[in-house]
Amino acid sequence: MDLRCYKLLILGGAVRLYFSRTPLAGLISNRVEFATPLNSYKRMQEGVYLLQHGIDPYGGDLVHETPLLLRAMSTIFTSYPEFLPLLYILLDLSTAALLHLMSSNFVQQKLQQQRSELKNYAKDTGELQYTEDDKYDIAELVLIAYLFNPLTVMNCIGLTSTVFSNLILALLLYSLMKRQLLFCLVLLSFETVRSLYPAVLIAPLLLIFARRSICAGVSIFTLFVACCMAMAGANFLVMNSWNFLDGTLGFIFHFRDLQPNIGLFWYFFTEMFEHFRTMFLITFQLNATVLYLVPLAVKLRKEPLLLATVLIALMAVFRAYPSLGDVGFYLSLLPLWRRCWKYMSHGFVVFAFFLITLVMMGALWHLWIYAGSANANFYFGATLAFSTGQIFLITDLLFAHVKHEFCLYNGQKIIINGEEARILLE
Amino acid sequence: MRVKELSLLCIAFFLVSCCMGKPETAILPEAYVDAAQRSTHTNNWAVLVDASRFWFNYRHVANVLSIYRSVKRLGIPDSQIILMIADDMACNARNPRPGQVYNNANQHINVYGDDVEVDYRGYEVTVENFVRLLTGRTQNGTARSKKLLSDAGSNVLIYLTGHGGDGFLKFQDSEEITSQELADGIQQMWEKKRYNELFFMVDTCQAASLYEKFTSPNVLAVASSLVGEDSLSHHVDPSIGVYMIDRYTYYALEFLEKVQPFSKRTIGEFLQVCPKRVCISTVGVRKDLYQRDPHKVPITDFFGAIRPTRVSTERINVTLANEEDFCLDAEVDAAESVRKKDFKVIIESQFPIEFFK
Amino acid sequence: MRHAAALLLLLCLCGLQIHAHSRSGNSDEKFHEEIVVRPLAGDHVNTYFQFTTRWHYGARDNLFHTQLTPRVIAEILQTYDVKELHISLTQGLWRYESWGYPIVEATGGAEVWAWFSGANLTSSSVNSQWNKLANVFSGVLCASLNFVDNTNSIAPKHTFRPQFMDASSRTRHVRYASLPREIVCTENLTPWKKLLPCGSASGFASLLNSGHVHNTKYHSLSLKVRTLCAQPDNCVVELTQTANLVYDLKLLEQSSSRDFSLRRLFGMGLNGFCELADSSKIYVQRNEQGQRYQLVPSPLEEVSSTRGGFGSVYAVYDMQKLSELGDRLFNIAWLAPKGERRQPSTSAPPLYAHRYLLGAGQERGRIVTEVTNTHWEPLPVLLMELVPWYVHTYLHTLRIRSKTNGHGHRREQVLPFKLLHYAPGKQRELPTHLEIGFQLPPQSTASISIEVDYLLLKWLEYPPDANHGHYIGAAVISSQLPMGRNYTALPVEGHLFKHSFNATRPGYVLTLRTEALIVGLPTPDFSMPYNVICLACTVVALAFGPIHSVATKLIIVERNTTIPRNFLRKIWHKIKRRAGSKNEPTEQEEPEREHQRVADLNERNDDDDRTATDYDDACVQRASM
Repeated sequence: MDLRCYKLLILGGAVRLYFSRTPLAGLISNRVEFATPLNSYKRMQEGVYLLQHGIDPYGGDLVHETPLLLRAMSTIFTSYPEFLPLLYILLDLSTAALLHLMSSNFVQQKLQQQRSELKNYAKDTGELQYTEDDKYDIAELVLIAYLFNPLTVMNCIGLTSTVFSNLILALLLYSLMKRQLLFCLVLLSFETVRSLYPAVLIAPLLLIFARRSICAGVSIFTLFVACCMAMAGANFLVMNSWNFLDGTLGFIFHFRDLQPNIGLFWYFFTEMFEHFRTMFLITFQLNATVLYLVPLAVKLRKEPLLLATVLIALMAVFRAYPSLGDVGFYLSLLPLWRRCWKYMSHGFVVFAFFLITLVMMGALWHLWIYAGSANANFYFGATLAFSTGQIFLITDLLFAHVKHEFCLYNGQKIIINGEEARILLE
Repeated sequence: MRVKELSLLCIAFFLVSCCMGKPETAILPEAYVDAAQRSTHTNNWAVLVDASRFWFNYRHVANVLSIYRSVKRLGIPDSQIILMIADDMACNARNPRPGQVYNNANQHINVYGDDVEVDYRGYEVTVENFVRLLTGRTQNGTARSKKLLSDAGSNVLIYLTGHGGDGFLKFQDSEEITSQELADGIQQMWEKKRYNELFFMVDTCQAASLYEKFTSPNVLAVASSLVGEDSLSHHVDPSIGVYMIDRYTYYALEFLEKVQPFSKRTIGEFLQVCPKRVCISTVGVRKDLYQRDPHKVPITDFFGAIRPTRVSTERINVTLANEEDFCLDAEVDAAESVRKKDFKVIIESQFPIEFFK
Repeated sequence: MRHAAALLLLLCLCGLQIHAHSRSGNSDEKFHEEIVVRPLAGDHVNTYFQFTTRWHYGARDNLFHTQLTPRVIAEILQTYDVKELHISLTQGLWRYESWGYPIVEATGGAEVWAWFSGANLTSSSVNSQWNKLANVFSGVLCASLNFVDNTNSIAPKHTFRPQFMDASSRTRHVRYASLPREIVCTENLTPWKKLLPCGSASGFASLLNSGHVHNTKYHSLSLKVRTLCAQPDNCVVELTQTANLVYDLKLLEQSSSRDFSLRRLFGMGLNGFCELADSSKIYVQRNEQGQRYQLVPSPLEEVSSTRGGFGSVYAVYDMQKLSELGDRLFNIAWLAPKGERRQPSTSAPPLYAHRYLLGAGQERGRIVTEVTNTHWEPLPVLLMELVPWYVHTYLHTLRIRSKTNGHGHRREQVLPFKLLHYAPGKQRELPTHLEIGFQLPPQSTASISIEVDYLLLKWLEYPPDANHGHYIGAAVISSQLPMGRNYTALPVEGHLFKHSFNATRPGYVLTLRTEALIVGLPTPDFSMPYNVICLACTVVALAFGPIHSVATKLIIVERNTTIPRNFLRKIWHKIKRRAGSKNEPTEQEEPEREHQRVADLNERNDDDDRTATDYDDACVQRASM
C-alpha cells in the first residue's frame, strides 16, 4: 500500500465520519433498503439490551444476530455508544484496505499465470491481458469503488451489521489469495452460522485448495463442517441454549419476517397461497444457494475468485434479506475483471436501472407508507427492476468473461470468409 | 311374416300393460298419498346468514333479521337458530337508533328485537365457518350454540343474503362460496343424515345460480332472482342514508308477518311471494329435488317448530339419575349450616408493594 | 302414575322451598340485586347494577344441582380447573378525570382473565383449558371470545393477583386476553340477562332493555366468578354480574333541566324486585355531585361511610322493606334546584392515565402512556402492556420520563424501573408482554414510551376490512392508593356494595385501563397474488436462463453479416435458422451457415501440452451437428 492509498483511506473515513454526524445517518439506519431484520442496528441494540437484562433474545422475533457477536459488542454498545460510528468506520476502512491488498495480490497471481500461458494467447490480445500497472490501478480502483460507493458509505453510516459481513468476506477473500486454509475455514464457518448463504463460498475454497485431489476436497469439506459445528458450539456456550439456531438460521430459511427489502422474497411470500408456501420457500432458497453452485463451479474452475464474486453477487440478489450494503460490496469487486470490461455490453442499461430504481424506491416507499397514494405493488415493481438490473450485471459479467477467455486464445478479430464474425453461445 | 306377427304382439302387449297400469295409480289409497305428503320431521333448525360487512350493506342485515324474527316468532327456539351476521349494524356508531334495526323507513318493525342472539358475528362469518357449520365438522371446542346439531328428522331452513354473482356469493368482500361448494356441503349433510328436508332461500343478485348445482334429495330452493338478473333493494331511509331492505325479503317478511303458528298457509303460497311486478327480478324456484307438493306443505314445516304432542294414558317409569343426591345434599346442608357461619374470606394482597420498598 | 304424582309433589315442594329459603336466608344459594346511582360531573349519571349469586356448596363433589347459580357456571368450575374468571364486554371509554373511578374496571371491547389451579396442571394444559373456556363463553355470551388463543393471551406476572381462596396451596396459573375490536350489543345483553335467576322478567334486570342500554356513553357488562374455600370441604362459589352504564343527560333530555329519573333513564319504571332475591336495594349517592339533587320519593334511610379518610353518603331504598310496608316503588326522580347553573367543581382523582400513538405512516411509531399523579405523595405504579404480535416492540427504547405539574420549578427526570418483566413477542405465536413498575413522584406526570414497528402480514392474514387498522389493547395500570378519595371499588373480600361502606384498609388497590390504540399496518394489494408470483418467478428465470447458457452452451462464431440489422428480419432469421437446424441441412444452405464451432473453454484440456490453438484447426463445420 502506498501513500496514495492511505490518502484515499483517510478521505473515505472522513466522508463516512462526516455523514455519520448528519441526520442522514439516522435516516439510513431506518431505511428498509439498508436495514433488514437481519442486519439492522436497532435490532442489534435490542439484542444486546435483552442479553444484558437476562432475557433470551431469541425467544422473541426481533434479534437474529449470533450470540457471539452480540456478546462481543455488548460492552461497547452499553458503555461507549458514542464511539460506535467510529468503530464501524474503522471496520469499513479495514474492509477496503483488505480488498485493496487482496486485489493487488490477485493481479500479481494473474500476471504469473499469464507469463506461463503467454505462448497460447493470440497475437492482438494485449489489451485483454493484465499488465504490471494493473497491480496498482486495479487495486486502487477496487479501493475507490469500495470507499466512495454511496451504497457502502450509507451502509456504514447506517451502522448495519452488514459492515461485519463485508469485513469477514473481505478477510476471507484476502486469505484465499494468501492461501491460508485454516483461517479461511474459520471465517467461512463464522459467516455461515451468521447468515447461512456464505456456505456456498466453500466452492471457490475447494477449487483453490483441493485442485487435483478429491481426497483433499473431502477432508477440507469435513473440516468446514466441523468448523461450523464448533462455531455453533461456541455460540451455544454464550447462550447456553440452542434457541439461537432457530433465531438466526431458522429465521433466514423460513423467511418469517415479511418486512419489505430490495430482494424478491418479501412480496412473493406476502402474496403466496399458504399451501404452496413451503414448496416455493425451498425452491427460492435452493435458487439462492446450490442451484448455480455446481454449474458455475465447473465452468469457472480456473477462476475461483470470479466464482466467489459471482456467488457473492447472486447471494446479494437472491438471499432472503438482501441489503444495499451487500450490493455495494460485490460492486467493488468488479474492477478485478477490468480486462473483461470490453465485452460487457449492458453497462449503461445496468447503470440506468440502478440509478432509476434506487431513486424510485425512496419515492415509492414514501408514497406507499406515508402518503398512502401508492400501494405495495409500486415498491415491489421498483425492487423487481433493481433485481433485474443486478441480474443483467451478473450475467453480463459471466458472458464477458467467457468471451474474454475465448478472444484471449483466438484473437480479438475473427474473420470468416473475409468478414468479421461475432461470438455467440449456442 | 313372422316379424310382423311379433311386432304386433309387442304392440298389443304394450297396450295391455298400459291399460292395466293406469287404473292402478288411479286407485292409490287416499290415506297413503296423504301419509306420503305429510311431513315426517321431528325438529326444526334454521341457518340464517348475512355475508356482507360494512354499513352500506345495512339492508342485508335487515334481510336476515327479518327471517330471524319470523322463525323465532313461529316457534323455533334460539338454540336451534344459527344466526350469522358479518357486521354490527345495531350498535354501529352510524346508527342513530342504537340497538335497533328496522325493515322499513317508517320504523314499524324493529327486526333486531330485544332478545336477539347472534351466534357468529363479525370476523367469524367466513366461508370456512359456514361450511363447517353445515357439515358438522366444527373445530374442537366450538360452543354448543355455534353448532348445527340437526339429525335425520330435522327440517332445515338455510337463508343466505349478501352480494353474489353467477355461481358465487361473496363473504365479507374478501372471499366467496361457490355454488359447487354449497351443493357439496348440502350433499354431505344429506349423506350424514343431517336433514330430513331442506328449504334453501337466497336473496342476492343472480341468486338462482347458487342452487343450480344441487343434487341432494328433499331440497326445495327459492331464489330472489334468476341468473342474469339483479336483486334490488326496496327503499332508502333518508335518516340513515342507506337502503333498508331488499325487495324479495321485504315481501317475504310481509307474507310471514301474517302467518300465525297454526295457520294453514303453505310453502306453495310462499313460493309465489314477490311477483315480478313488485320484485322487478324474477323469483326462481327449484322443485325437482323435492318429493312433496309444496301446496300441501304447511309453511310452519320450515319456518316454525310445531311439535306434535301425543297424549299417553299408559304408565311410564321414570328414573331420576341421581335421586339419592337430593337426600345426600340435604344431609350435607344440615352439617354445613353450622360451619358456614364462621366462613371468613381472606384474600392475599392485590398489589406487589414489596417491589417498591 | 303414582311416581309421577310423587315427582310432581317433590318438584312443587322444591319450588316452595326455594321460595321460602330465599326469603328466610337458610338456603345455600343466595341472590342479591343492587343498583347504585351516582350523578357524575358534566351532567352524566352512572348507574351500576350488581347481581350477586353466592352458593355455599360445601363439600359437594358435583355441582350439577344448582338452584340460583346458572348451570353453565357450575359446570365450568367442574370441568376446568378455573378458580376465578372475569369477563367484561364494554363499549365506550371511562373518563377518569371527570368521572372519578368506576366501581368495576373494564376496558373497551372484551376482556377476559382467569385463574386456574388444580393438581397436575401444566402450562400447556392450562393453555388448552383457557382456549376451551373462552370458547364456552363465546357461546354463552354470544361474543367472539373464541378468538382468544395463545397468540393473544399472556400470563401476567405481577398485575393480577388471585382473588379466590384455595384451601390447598397448589400451583396457580393466570391467563389474560383482551379483544379491543369486540362490539357489544343486544346479542350480548340477552344471554347475560338469561344467567340471572329471574332473567329479565322481574327485578332490576327488567330495567336493562337494549334500546336504553346502548344509548349510553359508556356501557359495560361483566361477569365475575370465583371460588372461596376455607377448607377443602367448605367452599363458596360466587357469581357477580355487573352492568355499568353512564348516561349523558344532555342526550336524554330535550329540555335544559338537569332533572332525571329512573324511568327516563331506562324507558320504564321499576318492576318490583326479583322474588328469589335475598336483598334488593337501590343506593343513591348523596355526596359530591349527588348532594344538589332532591330525591322523590325521599329515601327511608341514609348511610354515611368513611373510607380511607374520605366520607360518602348514600340514600338506600330497600325494595323488600318497602313492599312489606305496602309501598310500591315505581320510580325515583332526581330534582335539581331551579336556577342553579353552577356545578360543584370536581377534583381529578389521585391517579389517571392516557395513551396515544406518535409517528406517521405505516412503518413505525411510538406508544406513549401518560400516568398522572395528583396526590402529594409518590405512588407505586405498575403498568402492563399486551402488544399483539403484528407490532414489534423495542425494549431498549423504553423510557419513563416524569415531569412535575407544579407551578414553580418544572423538573424533568428519567425514572428507574422498580421491576421489569418482559417476554418478547413472536410472529403468529406470542404477543409481547411487558410489565414495569416504578415510583411516580408526587404532582407529576410520567410518560412511558416505547418504539414499535408495524409488520407487513401475509395477504390472507388481514381481516376483511384491512384498512380499518389493527388494534392494540389497553394497558392495565395498577397502583396502591394510600387514601380512599374517589375510590368506590368493593373490597376484594366483599361481595355486596354495602361492604364498601366504612371499609378502611391500609391501602386501596386501584387498576385503570387506558385507551386502546389503532395502528395502520402496511397492506399488500389483495387482488394480485398471481401477478406477483408470476413476476417474481420471471425475474428468477432471467437469472437462470443466461447462467444456464453460460454453463452449458458452446461458444460459436458467426458471420456478422448473416445477421440482419432490421429487427423484424432478425427475428425471421432466427426462426429460419432454428427451422433449418432441425431439418436436414441442404448443400445450398451450407455457405450461409458459416458457424464455426470452436472447442469451448470447457472442452479445452487443462493440460497445456496442446500448442497454439490454431484457429483453422479448431474450427469444425457445425452443420453436421
